[in-house]
Amino acid sequence: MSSEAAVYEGGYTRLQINRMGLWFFIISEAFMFLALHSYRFLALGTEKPEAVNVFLGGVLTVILLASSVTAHQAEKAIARGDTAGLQRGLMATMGLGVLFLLLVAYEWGVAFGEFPPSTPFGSIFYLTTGMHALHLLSGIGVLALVYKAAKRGIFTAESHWGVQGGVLYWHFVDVVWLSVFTSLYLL
Amino acid sequence: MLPVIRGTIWAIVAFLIGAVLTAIVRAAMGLAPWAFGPVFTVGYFFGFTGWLLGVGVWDTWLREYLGMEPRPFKAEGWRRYFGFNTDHKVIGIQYGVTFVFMFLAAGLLAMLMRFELMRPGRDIMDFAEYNRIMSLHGFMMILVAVTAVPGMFGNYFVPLMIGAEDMAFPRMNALSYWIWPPAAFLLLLSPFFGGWDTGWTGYPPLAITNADGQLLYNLAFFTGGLSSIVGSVNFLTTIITMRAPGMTWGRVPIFVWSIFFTSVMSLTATQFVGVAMVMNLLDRIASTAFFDPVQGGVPLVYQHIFWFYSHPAVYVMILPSLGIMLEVLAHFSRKPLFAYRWAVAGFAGITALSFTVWAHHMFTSGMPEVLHVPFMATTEAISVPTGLIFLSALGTIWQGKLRFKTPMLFALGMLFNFLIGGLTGIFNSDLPVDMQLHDTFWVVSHFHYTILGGGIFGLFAGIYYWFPKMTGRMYDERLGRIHFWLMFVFFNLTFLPMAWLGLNGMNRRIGDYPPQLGGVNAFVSMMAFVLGASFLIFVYNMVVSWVRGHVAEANPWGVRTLEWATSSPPPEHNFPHVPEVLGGPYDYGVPGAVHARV
Amino acid sequence: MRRDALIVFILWVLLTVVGEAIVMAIDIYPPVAAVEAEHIDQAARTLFMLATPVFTFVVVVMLYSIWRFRARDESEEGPAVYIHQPFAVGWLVVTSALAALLFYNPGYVGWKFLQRDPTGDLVVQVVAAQWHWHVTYPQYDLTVTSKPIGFERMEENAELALPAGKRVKFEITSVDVIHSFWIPALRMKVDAVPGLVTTMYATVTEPGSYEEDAAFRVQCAELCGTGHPRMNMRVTVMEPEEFEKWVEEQKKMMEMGGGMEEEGDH
Repeated sequence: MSSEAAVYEGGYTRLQINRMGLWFFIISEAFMFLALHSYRFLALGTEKPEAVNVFLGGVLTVILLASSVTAHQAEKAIARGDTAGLQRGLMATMGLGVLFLLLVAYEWGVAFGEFPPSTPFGSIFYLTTGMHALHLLSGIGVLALVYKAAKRGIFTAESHWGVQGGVLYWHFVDVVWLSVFTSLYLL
Repeated sequence: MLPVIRGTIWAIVAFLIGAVLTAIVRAAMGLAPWAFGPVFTVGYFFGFTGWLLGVGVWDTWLREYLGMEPRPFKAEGWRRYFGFNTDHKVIGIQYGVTFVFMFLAAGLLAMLMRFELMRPGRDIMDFAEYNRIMSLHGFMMILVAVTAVPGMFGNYFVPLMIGAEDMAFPRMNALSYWIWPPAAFLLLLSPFFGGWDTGWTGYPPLAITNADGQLLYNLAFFTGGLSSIVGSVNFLTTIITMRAPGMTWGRVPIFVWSIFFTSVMSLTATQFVGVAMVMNLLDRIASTAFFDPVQGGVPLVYQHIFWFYSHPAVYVMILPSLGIMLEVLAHFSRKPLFAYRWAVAGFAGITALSFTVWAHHMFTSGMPEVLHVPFMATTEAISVPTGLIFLSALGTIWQGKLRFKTPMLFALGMLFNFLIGGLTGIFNSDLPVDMQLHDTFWVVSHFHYTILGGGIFGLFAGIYYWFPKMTGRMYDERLGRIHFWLMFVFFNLTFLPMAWLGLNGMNRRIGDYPPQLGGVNAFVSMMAFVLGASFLIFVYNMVVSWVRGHVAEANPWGVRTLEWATSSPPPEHNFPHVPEVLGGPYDYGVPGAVHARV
Repeated sequence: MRRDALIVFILWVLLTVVGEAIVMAIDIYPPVAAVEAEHIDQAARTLFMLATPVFTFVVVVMLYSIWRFRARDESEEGPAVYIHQPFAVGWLVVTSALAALLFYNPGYVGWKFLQRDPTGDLVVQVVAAQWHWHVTYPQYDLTVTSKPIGFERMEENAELALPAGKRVKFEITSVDVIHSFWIPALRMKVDAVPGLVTTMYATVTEPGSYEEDAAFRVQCAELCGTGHPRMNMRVTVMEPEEFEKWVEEQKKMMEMGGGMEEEGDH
């Protein structure tokens, strides 16, 4: 389909159309996190329990930022036509993602004793980080599909929307984490 | 096997897997395994996924992603409506039939309510039943009002009007429709779980402690929201990127504009109601503390999050209908749409302001007093862009050459009703007066004037206007007019006295009221029954005309927009080749003007 | 064109005059029992008066167009008028001015009036619970409780008495779900929210009772479950001396333990 000549007003290519659709989806998802944050500030202001582990939150942030770098490298690689580099980048990104999820699981285990979900802060903390983790998990799922497709060799330097879309989504999930980190750990 | 049957089987299997898994996990954690809330919720999300995969996501979509040969759904005749069909015209009909049916069902519930309210005291149902029926009526009608026009006409006519061969993402379009059946199924199921009695707004703490039917409401609202979001991504992308060459922004038909701005609101605000539903649901099934005051939660925050969606949502209900109204007024006056750019600016202004007015639903809620005056200001400001729509409508019919076919009657009726809806709304936006009117029948009158008198009249204008295009047959004009006059007259006789009732101390959402209000209530009920009966004529007209009406020409109304430049109904890819747009869609009275070359 | 506009203008003026006369002449409001209520009715009347010319303008233009601008044959098309710039600008200016005006008065001014004096001679504490009103007069050490027994047996239900001429402060809260404390004769309501105390102030004026008009009642106005329509009680505004007597009577009844045992059915 991407080879089809642009016929419509504005001359949008299929790639641009796909990208626009994904951007709209991302805007929509951003509003979900806006809603979660709005509960946090409307119900609780900026108060938070002492027990929130800012150090661990920082580690999580570093891991995700690193995963954004590897995701970016994967995309760079396929833009050069380097399928092996793409696969390495995807693998590293998914690995960091899994590490992140494991650490979140550990954090939940500890924090359940400190601020359980039956307190307002606990409720919004677990829902927000849980929603984010769910998005990250779906991001890993998307990258896994991309990885499988890369193995089949369907991506080329010229045409690799699957990679671009998956990586854009991954960056979005990382940026969301920065907002989560700010609202629940730092403030 | 029909995809709907396979989807059902996959859904049942997946539901059972999810339910059993939850029970096992709960047992392992030392909890009672078969707690209804968690088991049903997890089971539902499994079943929902199973349904989507079975009905076509697996065949047409995931197989491709997994490197297998996709198996797109292909069928002819009636069967094509029962699968994952990616043709926007099929999806439009699917939406239309589903939601007109839902509208009629919810209308029947209204008849029951009016029967109970005909006399003071208890007649045919107890208060718990009344609350459940009222809640179901409200919620179903909300879903109809939010979805019917964009779903039916947006899908069918946006691509046609802008000269595209389909939507930008046809598979996502099919997905947005097939998300609905699980939501509808939940509604059908809810009475068996005690229903729910919070109205469509579902305020906690009541919504945390009442019957399990509330859980089904949460899930259904969440599911419906998902469909809205998926649909609006598609509309926005389609309208931006797939306009035929020459269809500049200044030549886009006004209905397309209305869908564009509607989608902006659905895309963003809907997430808020999704979050509100999830929080409410977790308070119920996982004992979280979001809105539960016993655990330190804050019930008022639910109202903020809920109305941040639900006020834009009322513009989601009305904007597409206003689009239809302006469309019909221009074509049936054979005059250019007056102040086209101002009307578009009106839609834009309504959209922008719609995000800033939510707390006017909360003037008596006990929210901090600093919020009252700003929200009154924004609310009253929104009457200005709405006024631009009236400017456009009145300017269009002024000095036109009016043709009083059924769609035109509905458009004019809508203009009148929406005027009253708008003016009664001013009273609610006024802080002192709202202290009395909030949560009374005045409000019932007001929002029925806007949503039923405005939104649904617009829906019917659209149904009659586009019926020949969608079915290839003409409806019976005489029956259409009878339907209009009955609906218009008895709509007003039903809902205008309600404003008086509210002013005189009848609050909304009650199965009983002071005996002194009995006379007016009896009158309202009688009128409501005739209003309800008028839809029988509509149904008869639609069914008979669809089966054996006169065959419609390509352009029975002799109007200019692109959907009429192709056959009725249009062929699979709409146009033989992409049309070339040469001028505006409303150049009536301009000799030799051409909108597009097809 | 000019003739059409002139006719519409004349019709509009005529209809507006008639409309304003109707708005001023007919009284669609229930009895009033507070200074605030009079102001709120006045605000509503002002809004009706502002809404009338808008309503008549749209209706006159519509009806005139329907009558005058019919197509006589199928091929006829209207004039290619896309916009009339001065009219559109004028429309925008007038509607904006109207919105600003009604924001200021009756909106802002009326709201400031309701908020003018956050004190009360008499304090009435209201606790809502599914589906009762517990009304406490802390200055008199008296509590009355309503029963959800419906309009049929309203005369047996508890009574909220208010002394005429006194300023009353209501302090309202809830112990379970959200309710709303509404007295139509005061034209005011405020939600009873668990975990929050909300307030409402009224300067009560003249005597009146439920027997005269159902506007003299407390009504729950926020859906609170099965008993919601029956979550109400009688309101009586009485002269201060009578109020003192009423308090004494109620206290006697309380000592005898009356009035509490009976639950309503739903």
